[in-house]
Amino acid sequence: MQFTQGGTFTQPVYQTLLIGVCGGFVYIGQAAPQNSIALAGNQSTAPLNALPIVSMAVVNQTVYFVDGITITSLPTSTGNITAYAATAGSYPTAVALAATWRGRLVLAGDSNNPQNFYMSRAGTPTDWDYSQTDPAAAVAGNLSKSGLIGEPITALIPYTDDYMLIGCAHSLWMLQGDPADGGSIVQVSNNLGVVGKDAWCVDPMGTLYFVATGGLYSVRPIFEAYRPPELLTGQNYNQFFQNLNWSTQIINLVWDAELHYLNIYVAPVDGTAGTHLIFDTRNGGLWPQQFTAVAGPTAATAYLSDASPNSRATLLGGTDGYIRRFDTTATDDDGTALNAYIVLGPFKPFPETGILAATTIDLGELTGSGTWNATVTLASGPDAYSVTEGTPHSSTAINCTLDRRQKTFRQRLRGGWFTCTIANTTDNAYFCFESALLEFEPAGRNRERR
Amino acid sequence: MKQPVPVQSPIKGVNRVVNREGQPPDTCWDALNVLPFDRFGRRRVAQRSGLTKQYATNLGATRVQGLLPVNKIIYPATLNSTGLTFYNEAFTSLATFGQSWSNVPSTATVSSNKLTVPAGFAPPVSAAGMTGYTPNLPSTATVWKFTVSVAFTRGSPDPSIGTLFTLGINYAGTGNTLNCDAYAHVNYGTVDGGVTFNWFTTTKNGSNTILASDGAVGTIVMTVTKSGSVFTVTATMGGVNMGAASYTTVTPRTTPPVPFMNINTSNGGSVAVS
Repeated sequence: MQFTQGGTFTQPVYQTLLIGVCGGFVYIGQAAPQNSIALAGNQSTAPLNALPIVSMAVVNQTVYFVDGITITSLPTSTGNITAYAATAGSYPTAVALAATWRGRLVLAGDSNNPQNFYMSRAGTPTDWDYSQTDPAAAVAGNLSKSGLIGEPITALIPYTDDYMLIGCAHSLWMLQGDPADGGSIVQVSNNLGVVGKDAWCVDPMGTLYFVATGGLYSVRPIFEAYRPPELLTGQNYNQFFQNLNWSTQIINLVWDAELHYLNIYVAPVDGTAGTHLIFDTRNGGLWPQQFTAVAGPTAATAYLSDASPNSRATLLGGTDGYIRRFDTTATDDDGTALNAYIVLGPFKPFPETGILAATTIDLGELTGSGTWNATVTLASGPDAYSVTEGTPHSSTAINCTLDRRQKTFRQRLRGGWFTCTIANTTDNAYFCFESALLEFEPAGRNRERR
Repeated sequence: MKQPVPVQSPIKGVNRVVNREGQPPDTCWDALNVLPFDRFGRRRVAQRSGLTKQYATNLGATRVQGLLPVNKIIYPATLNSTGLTFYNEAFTSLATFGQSWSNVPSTATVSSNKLTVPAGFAPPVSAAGMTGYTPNLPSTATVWKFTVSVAFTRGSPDPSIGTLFTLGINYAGTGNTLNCDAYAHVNYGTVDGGVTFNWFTTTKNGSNTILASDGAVGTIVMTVTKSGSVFTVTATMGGVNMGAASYTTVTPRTTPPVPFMNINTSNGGSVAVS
């Protein structure tokens, strides 16, 4: 028997909740029309440790949390935190990784046994009796024919019903088939690993993306002909990944199904602002992003609550206890102005020097919220370094407060190399770039020498 | 001689692998907080969308440790919010039932997720702990009745046109010696509206007996719809249309309504509710 009451009544068959953990407490959030988040019930004290990043898995509509010290659960039917207890056998307590695979609760990251993995009975996440021999029985890696993983486990990736990928720091393994029913472990790579428990994601086409030492990799869906992991960033921005330190950085990969972006978030553990990347799969480009320090994100997820476009978003958990989302109507980061820019070039119009005599910029049109602002900075120098990472010989800035096609700006900027930077640092302002036309005149020999 | 250099949006992003003088076409050596598609989905480099808070609530002055979306079926949980409240009574035990409902008859039994109220019970059973609410019952309760009422608050905007509310109840009647009425009751604002229909007679709408024998189970489905300013309550039992009533005068409620049941077996028989 069920009652419902409310001013605006809908009759959804299901609802997508957002489970959040902060300060060791568990929260339950709802999308529109509620747009609210509140503590889960039965939490007079924090059920989890307040410091570590928590791993979560859902089995039979109950969420299981592990933090490396304890395991607790949240049946979504009650909304109350419930102490976790085994109904058969005993489970590993000091685990930091949790996942769901084939109806089993899978645990790993055991500080006492870091190369081992543990799977509950299929359909019964509290049954850890490894002595049973039926195909659905609980199984541990060291007690099964599949055996242990070759090095400490860093990530659990439930890829398909038949395959689970297990990531380590410098290797990648594939569990083929149920280990309780003759499954085996195959090494996919002994050089590439997964740098963090959330440093992976799978797109709707089944392509797995993960961050390994030295780059961003992809693995094609299993139904295609097998191909080894493919490096996606070796030809454009590999330095970003070479500089990662996953012991001091929290790395999250989130797939944006609407914009077809792969979001790679890198948040320093010390709470300072990190630099993130967005991988545009449609054009194959990498785009650096930066948020305020409080925006983190220390946790991130794709929240697809219902059919409404306003209820689908990539959510970012901050260092300040707030959860934020990208908003197409927002032109700043929760009240803080964005520092947005793009550097076009460098250009070398002539073998020797040239003069940039005229610049015509076509900016996009302003529609929607905010005002328009774009500062165009033209720079010249003797070599490509001077106009990129170095100091230009000369520069001039033009402030564009109107959108669309600008008047032609005339200047006499002399040099061997040139760049054009378009930027905005004004709060509540926006810009986009269509095209530009730079007109150069020859200016003789390059007399600047080092 | 002028040398025009057209520049297009570098949609292929940052490239720092090549030599400085060899920047590939459609790439740039540096960018920050821009994306290859603008906020309206056109492929041209533009400032990215900003960030806003998903929820106004702060979870604590420390970092968020994890986020996970979970799909769930709504029925069993109570999700409190300013917009919707769901309440489910699963009848798992008499003690559990008694915690949420007052005036629970001591002679009632709970088994198989079903509450059975035997003969001789008259007082209403209502949800405890909420503000007082007096149900508006027919004055002559000479027959045993099972009544379930749901009240909802007028909102801003009003509930949308279409199915506003559907209540499904599984019940079984026993002791088929009297005419017994089932009263599906809806409170909207301060005006009570509902449909009364009979469980056991053979003449209702020309249909045969809905419950032909003791223990037979039927399902009441009550629907409220709105067309213009008219609210219409209809009820079906066992799939048979049992009647309808329309209401045009509605006064918004100022206090939260209280779900309640009225089970009256003072004249014999018993009622099982699930």
